[in-house]
This record gives sequence, C-alpha cells and structure tokens, in this order.
Amino acid sequence: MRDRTTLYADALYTLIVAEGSANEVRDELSVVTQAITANEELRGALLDPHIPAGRRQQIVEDLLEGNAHAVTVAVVSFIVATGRIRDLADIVEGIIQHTAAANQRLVAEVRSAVPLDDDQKTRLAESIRKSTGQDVDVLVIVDPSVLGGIVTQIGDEVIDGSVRHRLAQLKEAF
Amino acid sequence: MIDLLHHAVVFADETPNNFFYGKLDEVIVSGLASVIVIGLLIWKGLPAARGMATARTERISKEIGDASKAHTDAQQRLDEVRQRIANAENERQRILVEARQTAEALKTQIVARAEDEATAIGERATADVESSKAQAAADLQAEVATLALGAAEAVVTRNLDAATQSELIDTYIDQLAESAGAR
Repeated sequence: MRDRTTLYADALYTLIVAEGSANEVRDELSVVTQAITANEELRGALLDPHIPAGRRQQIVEDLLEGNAHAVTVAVVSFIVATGRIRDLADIVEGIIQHTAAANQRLVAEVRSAVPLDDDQKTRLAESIRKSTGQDVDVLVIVDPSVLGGIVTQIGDEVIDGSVRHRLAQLKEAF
Repeated sequence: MIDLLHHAVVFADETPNNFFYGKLDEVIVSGLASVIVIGLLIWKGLPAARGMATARTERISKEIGDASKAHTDAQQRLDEVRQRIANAENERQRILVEARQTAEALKTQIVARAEDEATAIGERATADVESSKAQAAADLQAEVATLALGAAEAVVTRNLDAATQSELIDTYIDQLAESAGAR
C-alpha cells in the first residue's frame, strides 16, 4: 500500500494535468515549496494548529494570487487546508516525478545562489542532455547557501560546482 | 696362748697385791669360756662375715657396673643430643640460607615488576602526552581551517557580485558541456 504522501501526489498530479499547464504549475510549486521551507515565520503560521484552516488558506491565497497560476494557488491552498503542509516538499517532488515520467524527460534540480536566465537554462539543459542522452527539464531552486555556482541533481547523481563545495574541499585539504 | 694364760695365772697367783690373787679358778673358767666363744666366732662367724663381705663386694661391683653402663648410656644419649643439636643447627643454617635466597629472589622479582610497571606507566604517560599533543594539534588545525574557511567565505561572498555569479554559472555550464563532449 502506497503511503499517504504518494497518494496526495498522484491525485494532485491528475488534477494538474486535467487543468492543463502542468509544467508551469510544476515549476511554480517548486518555487513555492522552497519559499515556504526557507521562511520559518510563514511555515510556522501554516503549521500552527491554533490558526483556523480557513485563515491559513487565506494567507496562502493572499500571497500567491496574481503571482501564480490559479491551479498552483488551489493546490497549495488544498494542502494547507488538509494540514499536510509538513509534507509539501514530498508531495511536490512526487508531482515533479510524475510530470517528468509523462514527458519522458529527466528532471534536473538545479540549485543556484541567483536565478538562471533563460539562455543559461537552455544551455544547461542541452549540456545535461548531451551528458545523459535524455531530454531534461531544468528546475531551478534559488538557494543562497550555495554561495555561488551551481549544484545539479539528476536522480541520485549530484554534480556539485558550487562555491560552498569548493570551500568544503579547501577545508578538507587543511 | 695357753702358755701365756698359764704364765699370767701363775704370776697372778704368786702376787698378793694382784687383782687376780685368790681367783685363779674363776680366771681359768672365764678364760676357757672366752676361748670357746672366740673359737665359735672364728668357726661360724668368719665364713658368714666373709660371705657378707663377698656379697657386698659383688653388689658394689654390680652397682659400679650398672653405674658404668648408665654412664655409658648417658654418654651415648649425650652424644645423641649433641648430634641432634648439631643437626638442628645445620637445619637452622639451611633454613636461614633458604630464607635468604627466597627473600633475595622475591626482592629481585618485586624490583623487576616495579621497574616494569614504572616503565609501562612512563610509556603510557608518554603515549598520553603524544596523543594529547596530536589531538591538540588536530584541534588547532581544525580551528585554523574553520577560521580560514570562514574568512575565505566572507571574502568570496563579498566579491560575488551579479557578474561573478553569472560567470560562475557559465563556467559550470561550459565545463559540463565539455565533459559531455569528451564522453
């Protein structure tokens, strides 16, 4: 029997596909997940059981409406309403995997201290495609802890070209 | 003797102032009685006296023999006692020597063990000191590395402007492309 997180991911992916714009919603969900994970105050508010579910949904909708696809807002609002915000990252990961499988493409999770422009995303996707022999969707996550450069994760393989990694290597060399 | 007695009686009988004057018969009877008693004494008493003397001599001789034997026995026992004393002295000497040897061996053993323990303690102490030194050096090195890394991170972060960030990303993409092309 599959766990509840997987069931949520399956159900919400079906919903996203039914509403269209799956790739756009996927990218937005990834960004929203990262933002909620990074912002402790926001995360605390969405996890607080003393705040009514309707009020928590209202917080999400106020933040996202006008800035994200309506389906993205609906999915996050639903997860908040069901009290599964703690599992948001795993649910979104499941949706990303479903999208990649449906597109018959790999998903490269790219962490960078700054956003990548479209040219960089295209060139990176092309390099990964040459390396793996498969088409790739590049999913950029802005992570200041990287400091500089990029960390790319494709499945279990990690290609770390970050400044953080080089500093760590420097420390080990001491 | 009878002549002597006859002369004495004749003399006495012829001398008036003598004590025996007028008592010649009494003297003769008394003399004869005395002679008989003396003769009896010599005839019967002398052998008995001789037997008693002989018995006494034999008894004394036996007592002397017994005393001599006792003396010999005593001398023998004395020799035995002296021998035992000598043996006891030898045993005492042997025990003393053995005790000294045992004590010496124990002393040597204890000293050797104490020296071994002292050596082991010294080696452990040296090892502990070396370990502490190595640990301190490693801690210091790690601390220096952390400080250096922190300083390097601060410097790098200060110098990571938008252009540098973009350049780092481009370099990464180019290296990935080169790596893919090399395969």
